[in-house]
Amino acid sequence: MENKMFRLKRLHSQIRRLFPVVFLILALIMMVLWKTQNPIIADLRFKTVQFFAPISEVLSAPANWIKGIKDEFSNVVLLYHRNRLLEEENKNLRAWRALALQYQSEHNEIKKMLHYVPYPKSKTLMARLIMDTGGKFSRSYIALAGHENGLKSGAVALTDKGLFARIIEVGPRASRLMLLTDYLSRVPVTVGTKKIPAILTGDNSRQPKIIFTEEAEKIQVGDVVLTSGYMGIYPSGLSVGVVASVQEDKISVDLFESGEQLTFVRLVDFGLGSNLLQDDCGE
Amino acid sequence: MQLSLQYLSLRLSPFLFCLILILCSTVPLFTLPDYLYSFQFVYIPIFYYAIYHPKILSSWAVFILSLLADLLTTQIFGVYTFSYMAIFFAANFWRKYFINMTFKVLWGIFGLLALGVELFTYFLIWLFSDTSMTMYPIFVELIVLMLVYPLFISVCAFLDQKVRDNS
Repeated sequence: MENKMFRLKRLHSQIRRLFPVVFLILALIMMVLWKTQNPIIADLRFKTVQFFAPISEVLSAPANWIKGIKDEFSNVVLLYHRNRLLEEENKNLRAWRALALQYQSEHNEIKKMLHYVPYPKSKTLMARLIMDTGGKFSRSYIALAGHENGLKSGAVALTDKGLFARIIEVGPRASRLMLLTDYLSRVPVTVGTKKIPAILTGDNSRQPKIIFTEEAEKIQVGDVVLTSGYMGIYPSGLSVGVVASVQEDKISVDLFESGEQLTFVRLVDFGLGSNLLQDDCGE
Repeated sequence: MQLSLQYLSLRLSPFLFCLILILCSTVPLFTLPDYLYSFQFVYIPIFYYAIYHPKILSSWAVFILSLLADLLTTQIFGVYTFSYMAIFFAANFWRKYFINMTFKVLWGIFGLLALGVELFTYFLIWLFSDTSMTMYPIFVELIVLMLVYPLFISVCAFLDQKVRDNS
């Protein structure tokens, strides 16, 4: 009897030793499941984030407070310098405004003459960003708007500066945004006045990189990057950023909207949801 | 009854401690220029308990914690499960040798283990997302982890001693 008990205990301890290996294998299976874009994972993730949102908000409060103080201090220090820069910029912008108004009227007339078919009417709503979660390699925001507000996966988040993120998961009252800097983000763009097609990919740094372009040598620092509208993920013509540096195999882009200190965003549904790839789950 | 409740709360303390560290790692507590930083302080208690008290923070508990970390972030699903379990597995597998080692040697071993896990995680992310990212945040994280290691080990040892005293 004692011998049997001893054997059972030994067997039990041997099985227990195997658990970590089983869990390691399970982790690899989980990654494969994620790669197959299983909607259950997205749903579970979203529910977990919503559940822990109040705790995370409390935990991030001290960091936000310190960051706020730091920003306020640097604002005060740079006030005079910034004011002079703004005055200068304002002068230039006034000249540009006159030109833009002239172009706009010409543009409208040409559109009328060519019977231009515009994008389907977009739905816009403002939403508050409540928190962001992330790690070393990714970061995302949660916006306080969801199905109940008529929001759909695939809508884009804009600020007055330009494109900021895309909605990847939608819950009843909240949705998750994927930033342009995220390593999973891929945005079809055009670069410069020659409209060189390329893909903008996030790499965790604040400057996403331009990849998959056949005319990299034509891209120059200062070229404006706009969404191209290819693949139907983003509408064309949304402001993204400017080329910050061009090295041999690395073209970095300074985003117009870096996402720092954002409280509200404009969520715009351009009705491109049907064109979206399968990764948009949670609807 | 009061004693058993106290004992239960003490038994749960390593799990709750890890849970708080995971929640801290998902919020941007540190915003430094250029890159995003997130520090996986939870590696330290996992390493400690896998060596000194694996029954109190078992592989099941680590698995549940890692699953939660995976669910809380937009990272590739399973990456945290892999890294936490790898730390637990390595520390637990060689615990017979580790348990008699001095604090300084274990400190160094932890650094090497964390570096190995982080590099392998980086490789997995590259493999699954086809994006090559800078390794700079990994090395910054490693330096910070090494600096705070004695502090977190002291907390773990304190909690562990309380559990042992009450058992």
